[in-house]
Amino acid sequence: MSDAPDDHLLALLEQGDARGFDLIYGRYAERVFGFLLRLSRSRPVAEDLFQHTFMRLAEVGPRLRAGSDLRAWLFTVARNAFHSHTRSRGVEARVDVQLMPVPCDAFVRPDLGLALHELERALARLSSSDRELLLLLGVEGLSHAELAAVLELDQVTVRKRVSRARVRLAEALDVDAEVMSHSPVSE
Amino acid sequence: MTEVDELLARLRKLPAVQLDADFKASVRARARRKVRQAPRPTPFASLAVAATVVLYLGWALRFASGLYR
Repeated sequence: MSDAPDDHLLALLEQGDARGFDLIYGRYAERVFGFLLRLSRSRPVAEDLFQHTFMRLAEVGPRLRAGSDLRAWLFTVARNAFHSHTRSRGVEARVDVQLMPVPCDAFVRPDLGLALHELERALARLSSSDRELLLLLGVEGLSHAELAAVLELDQVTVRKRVSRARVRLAEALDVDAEVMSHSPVSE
Repeated sequence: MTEVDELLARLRKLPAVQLDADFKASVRARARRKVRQAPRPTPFASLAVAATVVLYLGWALRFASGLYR
């Protein structure tokens, strides 16, 4: 049952069977939370938005049409919740990465190599719109078509934006490497 | 492999983020209750609502016509 396709889990949910919810939750909770944490760079905010996303699933999930792309739906809800949150807080807070050695305490893990730490830090330097593209495409493995559905854009626009975001990530990684090489503190 | 493809490959290696176990369980419990609280209307329920509306309208018409007798 745990490797049942998403459609089957949605069908369970449609029948009001809470096992459907449990299985979807087991499959996507960590992934949605990781996306929100990396996007918001704040654990309390990510927890709020995570809660909103899965309460929404419990409310609306039973009415989702058969054949709906559950993964894309969940990330759409999570992303929209993040954008509503940033709109309600005004302009997105700028984070000075020079003053913030690690993007978020959640990512300080001894088993994480230096290269991945640099990548987390470089991601945190990007704007949230670049970050969401790269997280959904790179980390979550969404296709360009799924990404276009989540962002409500056409695929050509998505490809252009992804291409620009990749360039900016590469630049952020270069800057990071430079900062690390001049840092007096070594890991 | 180009540099940009390499970037995506590196992104894919980023580890999953662990959720606090208590928080995860509390969200699950709250959401589960909501799933159970959202029963879908059955055809019987729809028929019962429609019949009640028709009966009420009939009674209202009869009552109103009684006023002008």
